[in-house]
Amino acid sequence: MYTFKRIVLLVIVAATTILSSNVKPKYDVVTESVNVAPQYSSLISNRYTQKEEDLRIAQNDYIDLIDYQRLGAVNNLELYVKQDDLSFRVVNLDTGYIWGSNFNFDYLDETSPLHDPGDLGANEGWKRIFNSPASVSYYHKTNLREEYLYTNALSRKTFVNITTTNKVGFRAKTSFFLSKVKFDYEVYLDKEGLHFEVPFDSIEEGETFKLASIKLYPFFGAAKRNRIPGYVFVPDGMGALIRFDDEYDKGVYTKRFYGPDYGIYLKSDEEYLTLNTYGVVHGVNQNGFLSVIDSGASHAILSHYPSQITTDFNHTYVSYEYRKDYVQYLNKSKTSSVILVQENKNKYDIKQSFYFLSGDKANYVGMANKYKDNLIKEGVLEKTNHNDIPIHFDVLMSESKKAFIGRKIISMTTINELDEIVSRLNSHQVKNITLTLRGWQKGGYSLTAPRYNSVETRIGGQRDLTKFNENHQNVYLEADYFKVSSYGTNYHKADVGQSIGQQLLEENAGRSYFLRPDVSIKKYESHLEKMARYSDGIHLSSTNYLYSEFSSNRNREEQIETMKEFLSKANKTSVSKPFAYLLGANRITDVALYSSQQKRFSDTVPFLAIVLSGYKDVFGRNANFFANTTNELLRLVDYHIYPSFYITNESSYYLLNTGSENIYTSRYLDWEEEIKRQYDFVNEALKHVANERVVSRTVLDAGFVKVSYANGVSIYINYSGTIKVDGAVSVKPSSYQVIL
Amino acid sequence: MKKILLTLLSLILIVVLIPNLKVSADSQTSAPYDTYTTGPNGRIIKTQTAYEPAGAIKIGLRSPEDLYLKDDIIYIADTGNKRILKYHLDGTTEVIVTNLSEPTGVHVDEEDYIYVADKGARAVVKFDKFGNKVKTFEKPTELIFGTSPYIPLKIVTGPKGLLYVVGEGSTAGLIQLSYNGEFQGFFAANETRMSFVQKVANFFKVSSASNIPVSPSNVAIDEKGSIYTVSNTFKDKTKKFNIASETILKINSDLVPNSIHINEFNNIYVLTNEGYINEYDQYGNIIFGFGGLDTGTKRLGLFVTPVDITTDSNHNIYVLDKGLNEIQIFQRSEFTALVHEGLKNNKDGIYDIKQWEEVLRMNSIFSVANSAIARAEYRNQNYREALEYYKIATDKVGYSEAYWQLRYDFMQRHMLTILIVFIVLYVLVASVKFADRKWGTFYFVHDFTKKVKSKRSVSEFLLLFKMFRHPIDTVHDVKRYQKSSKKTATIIYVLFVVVMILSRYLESFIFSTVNFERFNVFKDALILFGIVFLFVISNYLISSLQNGEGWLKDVYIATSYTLAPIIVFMPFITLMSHALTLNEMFIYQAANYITYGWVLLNLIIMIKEVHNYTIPQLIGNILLTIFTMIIIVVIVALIIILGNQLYEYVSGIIKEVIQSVYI
Repeated sequence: MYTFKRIVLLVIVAATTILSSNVKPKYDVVTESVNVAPQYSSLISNRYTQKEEDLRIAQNDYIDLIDYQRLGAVNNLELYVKQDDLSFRVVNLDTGYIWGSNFNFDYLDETSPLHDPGDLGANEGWKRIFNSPASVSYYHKTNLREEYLYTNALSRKTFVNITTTNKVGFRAKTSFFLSKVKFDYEVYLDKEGLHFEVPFDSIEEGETFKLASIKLYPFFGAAKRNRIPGYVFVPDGMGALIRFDDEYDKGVYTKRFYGPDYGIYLKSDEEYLTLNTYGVVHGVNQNGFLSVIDSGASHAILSHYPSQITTDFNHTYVSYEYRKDYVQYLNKSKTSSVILVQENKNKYDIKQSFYFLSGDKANYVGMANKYKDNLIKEGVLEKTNHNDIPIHFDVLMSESKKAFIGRKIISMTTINELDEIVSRLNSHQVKNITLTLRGWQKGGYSLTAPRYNSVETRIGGQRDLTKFNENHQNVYLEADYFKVSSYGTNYHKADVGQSIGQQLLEENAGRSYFLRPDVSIKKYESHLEKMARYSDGIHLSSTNYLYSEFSSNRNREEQIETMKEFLSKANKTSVSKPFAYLLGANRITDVALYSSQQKRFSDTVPFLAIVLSGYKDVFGRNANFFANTTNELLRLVDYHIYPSFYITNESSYYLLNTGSENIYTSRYLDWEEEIKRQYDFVNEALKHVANERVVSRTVLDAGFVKVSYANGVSIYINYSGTIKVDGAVSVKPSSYQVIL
Repeated sequence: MKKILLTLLSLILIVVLIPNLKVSADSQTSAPYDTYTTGPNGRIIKTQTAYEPAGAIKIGLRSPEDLYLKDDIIYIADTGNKRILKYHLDGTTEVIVTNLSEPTGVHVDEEDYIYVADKGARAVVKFDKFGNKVKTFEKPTELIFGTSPYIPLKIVTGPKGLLYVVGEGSTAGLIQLSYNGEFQGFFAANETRMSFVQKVANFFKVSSASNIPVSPSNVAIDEKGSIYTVSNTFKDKTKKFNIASETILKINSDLVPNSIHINEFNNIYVLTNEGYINEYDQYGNIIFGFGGLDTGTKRLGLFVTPVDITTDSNHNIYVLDKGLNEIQIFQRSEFTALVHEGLKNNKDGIYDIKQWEEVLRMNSIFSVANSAIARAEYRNQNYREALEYYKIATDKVGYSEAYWQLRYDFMQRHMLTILIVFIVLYVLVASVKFADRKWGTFYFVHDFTKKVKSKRSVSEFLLLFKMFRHPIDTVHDVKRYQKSSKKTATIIYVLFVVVMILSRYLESFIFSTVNFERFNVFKDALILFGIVFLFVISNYLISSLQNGEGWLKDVYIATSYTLAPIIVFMPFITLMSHALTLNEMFIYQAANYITYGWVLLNLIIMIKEVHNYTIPQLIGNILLTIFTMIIIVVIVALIIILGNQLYEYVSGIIKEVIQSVYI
């Protein structure tokens, strides 16, 4: 009888095991989701661009031309200088507006009409600081100190007029008494605008102190409290404005261009300064300038001081860093350390240009268009040629997962399945498709970098991929030559870059490493030929990590050269979250749609988007992860950014416990209808202006924006939950309207 | 048992590090923080932004401590300015009470009376809606209130005008007052936590300093009058109490909560000192977690010193920040609206599959959605579908219930067939056996088995089965008659490890506690082999000092045979686990205990017989063996740690010398 019971049990067990196995989620329903329009407090927060309400005429009473010597004029600009203190004035002859490198101290007299209650003022010491054309910071041992040219009477300077036919300006030699630093700089006008230059070879140091950084004319473009309406534009993420509003607790804004340097242990979870530029507006649609750092941006730091912090003037400047202190760990457990100062100076020349804008160009749109024109001239941007807007898909093809023993490859989308997906999309009239294939390489998406020379057989193999590429345009293979998983096996420890303190370059508490740039490029070159066989395009990941690397001794400027080499070697390239030096890629994905949203910002503005619109295919973040879909789609329409999705053929459920487990929804069938709906929504607006530049962007009311394009088409975007009216145009809540 | 054993030893033995993969994400959020929810296995996973920052209310507050929202009016205890403000969500501000001492808590009741906990005045003051003082609740004079301090910090009112006062240093719990100020008793006290030393002292009845419970730090009340408190206790920081002051829900978290809010469908919002906002459903499952502290750059949506949280009729969140002197607004996203809709329906007993499927489309591993669909399918008697969703949600209880139903159905349908099949089989086997006995029909089979059994390697192996019936004899066979070999013992050890690992891996989903993604075969094998060899060596070492008769070889071989119960039973137990549900858990547990108990018994017999010990000797030997095992582990660990230290020391000196050249 015992045997019998046991057998009964066995059979039941067997039967139920079969029944309970093969678990697979299934759901295909798409219902229209609710739309939540942002509430008013959100529309007037720094997540949106604000309406221009301060329409005063800008007038800078704090500077004049008295005692200034006219050096000459180029085109519509005139340069004046005062040889005594090297301060200068630039006069825009179109408008007569004067820009000055410092300001008069008349306002300190309390009876002066220029005085405001609560002015911080300045004593003689401060006056010398404010008047100094240049300052240096330097290390005494490991203490950072700052010296302004005029704080010590024994500092020296000379003035040489370098005016020629096409160039108006002067050269100054400076010699700082305390820090023993000497350098030359030039300030000159040419037909483009105003330029600052400091040649690296002219910088000299004494024996005791080490130069840390240089800044020039920090008060150029300064504006007193809220005497002048206007704002500063900073390229923080998508772009942000800091309006001059005389609030006292805003705090100083400082940020390094092109993100933090992992090579000297800097980190940040904010949006980065994406472009080598900033701008100042005195009176919106009146006067402004765009400043571009032509050389040295990667070691430069942008600072904005709102008024009421040490001075009464809002001012913005760039400081150029030559050395940095760092922590040198003396043992593995990091319990013992010393602070040291970087031994050698970063080698680069300083070049900064100022482009003056006036009239309806004196705003962030005008700045963006100026920046754009420069890029067009350099050949970086070229007008696109689309009928319908493009749409981008990140396709995850295979991933690896821990198995009972070792790792197993799971196929998420095979090449044949992808082919089927693309034809389904085509049949839904979604035709202008561009793809990024992730995990096409042997071993799946995670842990395999930087090896990209063979195709994972589970997704179809080489022949299929080559064939797929022949049948489809705009297919990019993802490859990461900079950041690798620390559990990866396709590189040696010696390939990993080193920080200034001889630590491995790492991120995420050692979960990823950064490779040495010389190793990266070598690996890349060795794979290029094979990759070219599978596809024309390469999507380069992690190009937005710009780090100094100390085992091969490359600073960030040199790393930029490596990145550019990466772009130039392949037939077609694509990058994500680009910095200025990467805009030469053929395609740009996952562009930041927001700024860091620091509270001192008053607005988020689509600066980067306006620079690129109509001249580069730019895609936003993947729409699968939108929480407020309608709002985000309106943002795409407003900013002129194309939609993007992350798709797989299988359910993202299988990605749990893989390197891609942050992808929590991706199955194509779940998203098919949404893809079509969202594409149509954006396409119906942007197809009319797909190849056009933005000429103006006006906020008519909180959450109600009008964007006008060069071909005369305007698009009204209404983010709010109420109907908005502009003349004969009325726009429904959470909607847009195209005026042809 | 084996789990405890394994986890214990994994702590002791050197482990192979488990890679914890995380590829940094592409930008998936529109806010300066990520949003998390519960995924399978209770894991925290990323999801769509639940609440987006939507600006701030700046109305000249100074170190405000508390807010209360009713009918879209926010009442703010503007502590630094010693006043109570009323902020209408349309943007108008109204000062309603001034000249307070230090108002740290504010509450508004059904009839719009305003209650203010004035810490400075040591009183709770009741005002009407125009700000006229109605009543002051001073320190209770009742004897039972005793010497407890009365420093009101926060206040809520419940049904029948009951007041619940959070008092500073009120370690006995909330101070409960009636509408006219009579002391009703302490409410919702926290439990004390005893240290190990205190527990030992208690056990031996030695008096030691008694512990004082932590006083609650904030309070909230739901529609039904249930009280919720948050306290900075060691565990169960967030608790829900019924009217009888019994805990009916406990939520654990490592973060330090400072305020709590309950919305209309009993979702629980907890704000923590770390700047995180956690939203739980009514059962305490985490639905959304997001937020964070500002790192100095003052980003919209991050906090400096968050002190209080509430929600409005549109389910937007308001967080009062004492450091920023403002109220930050977080607007509910479309995705969250979808989730809330489902939760609201669930509360009303409606389980809408379509609704939750839409949530799953947005996030395929959202646990609450998978559970909800599973529950709905279960109700609709679609047990198979329910099973699938329960599995994704790793809801073992639900899974077990659905499985029970399926098993029941299966039995109902097929019981007869199974019975018939087995009766036929039984008859068949019986008749074959009968035929064999009577006429020796199957003599060739017997010959064959005899031949096989007589082979040395097979017979050595078959001793395993003898271990069940005659353990003492088996040990003697091994020791005295050399009936086995080291080779066979090694094979048995390997078999043991394979059985152990496979049984862990193949155990039914309901009983399994293993996280397969972290499952490391090599680590487990190493640990198991480690234990066995540690035992063999320790036992041999001790026995050789204790006049034991066994050689290392004997101990090695005999120990392998003691594992027989595991090798034989474990596969069946594992198989059986697939047929059981949580209701029959005791069967599964009992089977496990018997198996391990048997092994233990075998071990003891083995030690006694191999070394030919008397009972006292045996006990001594066992204790010493265990002691030796511990000592060996400690020494190995010490050597590793010290070796590491030495390495660091030397490499540190070298680095220092190199660096000092530069300094």
